[in-house]
Amino acid sequence: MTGKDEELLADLLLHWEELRQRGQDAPASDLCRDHPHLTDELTRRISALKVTSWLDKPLAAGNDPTEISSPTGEPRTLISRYRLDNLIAEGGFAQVWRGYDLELQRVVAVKVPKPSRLQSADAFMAEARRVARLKHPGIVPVHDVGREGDNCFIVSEFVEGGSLGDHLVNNPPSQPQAIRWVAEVADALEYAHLHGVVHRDIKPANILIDHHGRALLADFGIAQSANKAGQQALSLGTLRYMSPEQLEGKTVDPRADIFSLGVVLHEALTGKLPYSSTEPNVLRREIVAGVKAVSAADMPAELRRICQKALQRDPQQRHTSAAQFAAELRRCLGNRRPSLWRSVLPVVIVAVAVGAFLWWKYGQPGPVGEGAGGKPVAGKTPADPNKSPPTAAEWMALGKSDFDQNHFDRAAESYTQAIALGPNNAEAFAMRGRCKVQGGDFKGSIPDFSRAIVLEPKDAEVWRQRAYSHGALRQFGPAIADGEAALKLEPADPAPVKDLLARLYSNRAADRARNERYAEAAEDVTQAMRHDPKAAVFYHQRGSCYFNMKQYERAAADFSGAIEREPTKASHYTNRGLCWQALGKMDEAGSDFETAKKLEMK
Amino acid sequence: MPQPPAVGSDTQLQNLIDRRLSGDAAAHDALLHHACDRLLRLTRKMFHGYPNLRRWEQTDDVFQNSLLRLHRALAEVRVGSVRHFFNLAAVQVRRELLDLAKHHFGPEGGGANHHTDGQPADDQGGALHDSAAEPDDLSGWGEFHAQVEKLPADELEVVNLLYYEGLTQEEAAKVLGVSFRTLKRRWQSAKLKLHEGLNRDREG
Repeated sequence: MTGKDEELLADLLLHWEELRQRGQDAPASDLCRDHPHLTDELTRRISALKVTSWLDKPLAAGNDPTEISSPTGEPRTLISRYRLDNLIAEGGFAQVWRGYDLELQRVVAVKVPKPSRLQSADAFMAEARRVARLKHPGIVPVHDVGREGDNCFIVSEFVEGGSLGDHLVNNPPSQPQAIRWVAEVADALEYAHLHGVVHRDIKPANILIDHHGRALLADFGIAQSANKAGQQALSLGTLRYMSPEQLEGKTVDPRADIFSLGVVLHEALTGKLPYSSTEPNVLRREIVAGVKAVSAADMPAELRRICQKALQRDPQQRHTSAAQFAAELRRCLGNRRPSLWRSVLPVVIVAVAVGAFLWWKYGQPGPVGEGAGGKPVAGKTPADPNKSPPTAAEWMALGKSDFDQNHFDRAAESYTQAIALGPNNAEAFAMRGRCKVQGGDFKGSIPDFSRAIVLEPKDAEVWRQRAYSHGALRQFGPAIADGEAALKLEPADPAPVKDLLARLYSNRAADRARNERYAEAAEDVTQAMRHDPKAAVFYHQRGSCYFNMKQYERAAADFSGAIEREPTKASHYTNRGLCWQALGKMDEAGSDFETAKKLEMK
Repeated sequence: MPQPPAVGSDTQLQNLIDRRLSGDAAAHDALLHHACDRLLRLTRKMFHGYPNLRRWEQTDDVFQNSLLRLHRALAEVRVGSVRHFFNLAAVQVRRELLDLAKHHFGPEGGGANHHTDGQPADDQGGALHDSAAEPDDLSGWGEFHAQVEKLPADELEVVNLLYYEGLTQEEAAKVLGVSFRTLKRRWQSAKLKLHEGLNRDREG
């Protein structure tokens, strides 16, 4: 290995790490396209870095609730009400947990700032209470703030979906979509600014996109409290979006948020920041010096102007308000006729179809603006009093149309109307439950499915749906009972039920294994295998359980089963090798390790 | 008992060190507190699978020993820079951890016959460990801390700052006066050497 090769490898590893931080696990063969002789060595080093990645994880503080389990193995619960189920994000300032409100029985997000990062818990609580009063459709609602010991916490709605940051990496939005989202965020900011709250930490990770494609702003006030505490050690993710005045430590007002949103807009439209460097010290200098010119070639001139205005170094040169920023963006959107037409076309088609249906039923639809042309709108009566109101069947048809068009809220309203007209309509309950599932409201779907089951107990599909909802809530006991009940009803196609059951047993096994209940976990995996005997992953999973129970012979037999079903996966051989090693069969172990190594090299 | 203020950045630390040099006792306490906080976190991690030992160590031995050692070091050695402080503190913390691992994993140690497979290696139900994966017993931790001591000086310093002192990569680059890229390269190189060393020693 020459010195030049070592240099190249170091550069390639840095590149690999950057890609990995963006969620891409680039194979060595891709990275070494121009240097194929380094592929094997790079593969080995990437593997080594993956193994040692635990060194990069932050350590739990002594008095932070960072341990998912209490000494008894149960998830920690704050003030006997909020159960912390899964750590979903962790930054320098706080952790965010997917939690469960035991009192109101709903999934919530719980943000727990690290006590060491808070100068004053009282000041933080006061700020959090002020933020909790913000009520706007574009702001993630805060349900509660509280304190337990040294820990403060904020409980807010759990938004299913991902952040704009995730979208930018995995599924970049179209230009019109990006503009709409940024305009929605600007609307929310305008409301907050009018209420005297400056966000101070606008960045893609704090903009959540829900299942309906709406942008919601999260983490109000958190940054402010952090800054009050004099924290200079901001993460790179935050630094990229900071305004020059924030970096210079000057007084910050709403126009700092507009600047940050300008950076987000630039990134959403072009896929890159308006700066040339990501190296913190250079980046700081670039931000303070001011963005020279937005020069993205594929950005229309008007958009460039709006973006440039938001990114002015002098706050006085920026948009005077977030509302003005939003209005300019929307005007820009309005000028983009071809794209807009493309985006509204499906809506027009649906409108025409519904109009045709209503014309067929009621005669000519009424004029626009008069009860939406006679369309049966949920919660309203049709416009023409001479026409008979829609029947349950019509609401069902409308619900189905909306459901098929992915308009789940509207569909749910139609099914509610159908239920109002016929409270024993099992299909309406089942469909409304499915709408709720699509909207991420698993908890809300269960009563609907339950009602449907009472009305129509032999519908295996509804049992399966309820099993799915319970499973999504990690209520594996009821989920498995429902799944087994569905199977007993002998559905025409049992495959989806068996598939679901296998996953439910496997997930419960994973939970139990995490709590070191390996024997029960192994039994669950056995059940999973009963429903899906071909999956190698279950053999691997049960083998791991047996290994932990020190039943190495049985573990080795299971890893052999996994190898039989998936002979090219290195980890099966590695694990079986470890079993042989524990049994003192060193030749067999060596052979398996060798095979694993060869497969990894491939 | 009121705690000294938390140390959040190298600027604050430098300020504390300056104050300590001019005889400010509160700054002295804050520096000790920072080091002890890191030791607490690292100890918790190391004793994860040994709840009985963990409870005992946290309440008694570790803090007192650590405080005494660090107090002596700070009293005897002239700490003139942030970099110097972190290196000194990291060495003390690591030695303390090494001693603890040896003490409890020795033949008479409370952890010697306590076996745990507490940490599944994957999230589906199995603990099957690579030699350089996160240690799950005191023996493994002892090997890890000892392996760190064998790193070349510039890489050891990066491990001190990032792992033992808990700085971010940006903060560490600033403390060392090197570019972010150089810092990242040294960190990767250190991890690769640790991986190699731990596997070699285990096989040997």
